Amino acid sequence: MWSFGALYLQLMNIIFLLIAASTVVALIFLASFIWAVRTGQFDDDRAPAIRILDGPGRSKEDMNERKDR
Amino acid sequence: MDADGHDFCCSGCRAVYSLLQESGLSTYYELEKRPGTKVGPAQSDEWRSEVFDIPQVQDRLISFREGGMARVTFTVPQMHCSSCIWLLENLDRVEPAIMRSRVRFGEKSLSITYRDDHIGLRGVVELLRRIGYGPRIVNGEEDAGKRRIPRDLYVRLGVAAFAFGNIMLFSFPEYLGATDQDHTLRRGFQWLSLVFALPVVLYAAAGFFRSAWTGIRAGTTNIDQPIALGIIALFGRSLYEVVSGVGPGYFDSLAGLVFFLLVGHWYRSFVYGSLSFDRSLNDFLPLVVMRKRGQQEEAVRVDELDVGDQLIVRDQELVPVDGLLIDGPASIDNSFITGEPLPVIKVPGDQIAAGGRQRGGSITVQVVRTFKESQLKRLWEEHGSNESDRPVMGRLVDKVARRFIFFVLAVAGASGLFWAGRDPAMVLPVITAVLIVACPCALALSMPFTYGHVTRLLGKRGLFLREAEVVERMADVDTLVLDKTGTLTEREAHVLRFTGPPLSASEQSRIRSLVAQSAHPLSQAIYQGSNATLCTVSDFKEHAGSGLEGVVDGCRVRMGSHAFVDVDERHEGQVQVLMDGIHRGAFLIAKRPRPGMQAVLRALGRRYPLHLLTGDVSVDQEVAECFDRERTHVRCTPAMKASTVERMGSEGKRVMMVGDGLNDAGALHRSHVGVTLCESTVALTPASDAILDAGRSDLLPGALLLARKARSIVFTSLVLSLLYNVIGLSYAVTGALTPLIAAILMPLSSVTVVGFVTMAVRYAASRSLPDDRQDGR
Repeated sequence: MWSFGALYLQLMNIIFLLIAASTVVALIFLASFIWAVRTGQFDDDRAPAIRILDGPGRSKEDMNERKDR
Repeated sequence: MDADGHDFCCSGCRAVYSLLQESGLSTYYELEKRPGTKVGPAQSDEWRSEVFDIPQVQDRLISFREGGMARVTFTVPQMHCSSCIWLLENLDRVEPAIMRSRVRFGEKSLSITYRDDHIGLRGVVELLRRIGYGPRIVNGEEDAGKRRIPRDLYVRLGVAAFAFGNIMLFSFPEYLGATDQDHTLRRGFQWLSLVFALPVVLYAAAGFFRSAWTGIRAGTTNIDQPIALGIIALFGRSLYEVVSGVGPGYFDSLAGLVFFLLVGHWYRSFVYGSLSFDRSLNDFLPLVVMRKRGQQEEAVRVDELDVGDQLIVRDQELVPVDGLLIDGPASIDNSFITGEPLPVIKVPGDQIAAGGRQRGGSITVQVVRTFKESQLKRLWEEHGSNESDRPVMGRLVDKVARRFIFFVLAVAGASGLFWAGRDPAMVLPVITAVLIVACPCALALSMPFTYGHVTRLLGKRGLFLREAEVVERMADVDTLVLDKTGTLTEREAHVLRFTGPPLSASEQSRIRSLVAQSAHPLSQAIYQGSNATLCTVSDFKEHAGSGLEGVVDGCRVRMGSHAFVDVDERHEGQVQVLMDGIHRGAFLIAKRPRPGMQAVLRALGRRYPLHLLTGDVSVDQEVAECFDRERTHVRCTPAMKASTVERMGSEGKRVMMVGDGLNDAGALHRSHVGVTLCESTVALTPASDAILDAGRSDLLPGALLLARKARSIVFTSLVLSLLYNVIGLSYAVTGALTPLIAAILMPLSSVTVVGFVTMAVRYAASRSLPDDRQDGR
């Protein structure tokens, strides 16, 4: 039989657990952000965005070639 | 020009188009509406491609070389849009010997890995030049990488943002009115906030403490001092509250404050980071020079030259030392050092000063003084160096900060005294609350954002400012001084005037045929100035330094200096013309005024007194009519230009000097704002606060207007932020500053101030600046 007080205590414990877990997750994201900065991923914000669009099928010629095949 | 339904500005661009079309790179033209850089004629200060075959040059440039592969990194200032990136990263499809090319857009750098045995460094450079992305090669330290936004700043920003977000979440129970029932939870959150605030104060905010401390030690006030004081007050008060358990503290406001301030810092480096003003004189020297040793030539560095060495200088190359001409004739263009527009003819035995550029055939020069002792180096060191020792004008923000910090301390002291009489327990809380709320966050943000935006908008259009304070100084300007040669006039193009009776068609063709034989700059100017038909010339002779003669169409034509054609010195004109012994007249040759310059001068003249400084003897009609006679100073040496500007400065005038290079360096240095007009990205810009793209002189009136508007925007935003401070202070002095009010008030003031200045600057710019010509960005 659960008393109201006991339920409250149970809930509190879960909240502490959740806070601890979420803090750890947040710290992991902070660490990965710092890692990303240190490995130079923020050095250039323009070229990588273009690079990912580059590839076969981008230009009209490539499209035509594919149709021909 | 038209090809395949595309429209091109010049034949160069069309050539690039067909080159790309062949290589299957036409996506270039699909990525952006107007891609590419205009392919102009080769720039005169560009190095000849043969230079890149010299092993010593290759060693300097190539960073890595192994097994027939080499990697080289260039700075390519022309890249500006997605199409540029796309093309430069697909160079391997244009030239199979290139294996990989990678762009770093922020630094405008391009690193290329290529097969050394197939194409070679020269081939790579020539390819880049052909497609309009000729690399900038500097002699000094490689400058790519210096201009990057420090990675450190991103980490600090990240830490502050992380702490800000989390602490705010932890503070929600407090905002929403948590009760004592949740005591454990509240205490837990408070301690967690404290833990998260530690890296913010100790790491993210470290720069503010450092700058504040530097200021204290130097005995000056700066904006970082009230900020540091605010951060310390915030942290100390919050630490006390949490440890003693009386309250939740203000950690959320603290983290938010640091975060917003760092955003301001980031924005500043974002705007100014991509500019490189610190070019040294060394960047202008050739990488290597050819020293004569017996019958052979060897490539050596300029600093290896000794007095007595002989070196060979080819067409368009710079003479890097003071020397004696051994083998000539030389035609030396001194515009770089003296501003003298037309080349000077030297014959063997004449002195040549360092910095002159040879135009014409190759010459041999004997070293008289090495580069270190040369006149050029002295001129540079006197006032050219970029570590500006210009008296540091009090930055407006620091001036405001000084009043502000005394005001805050006074309010804090007064309210402390007031409470001491009523309720001693309230003294410390009230004093810290005053310090917290008075933290001039909005104040510190309004200037970097206002001037940063102005700088960015001007930079997009072609006027680049060295730092934010230049905008402030531009707003003060009340007098304009302009240099003529290279500034008001073009560097290369000429206008011709013939003094005698008009020439008939056959006379014109005789003259043009004769000058076509000569490579002398004056001959070239006359040649290009007419389109008469050419006929054969017999018995042609060129007398170096004096003139030409030959028989054209059965008529003996002599052209040249007064002495050469034997006419009276009183006849004006540089090139006298004699036909069959009869003096026919003379050519007056002057540089052509830049297009649109007159309109710009008239617009400027409406508001500012205009002064003209020129090294020339006379001023052409077109230019002269824009200036008052008494404000036109002719025959100015660089030293006279400098002293004229200095005298105006001491008369209390705020002078903006517009010049074009080293010969104006002294004047630029002594002016309130020095603007250098630049034809290419590789020009030398000593002692200047701003660099203006030569084609965009129409920006000047608008830029000055915008600078004045920007200053009133800053004032308005200061009033706005002071208003917030007054509201905050009214809470603080009455002891009613709750964490919630602080947490709302501080970010709100920062955001509104930043938002206000951004909108205001955009609006002001759209009203005062001509349209952005590049729609690529």
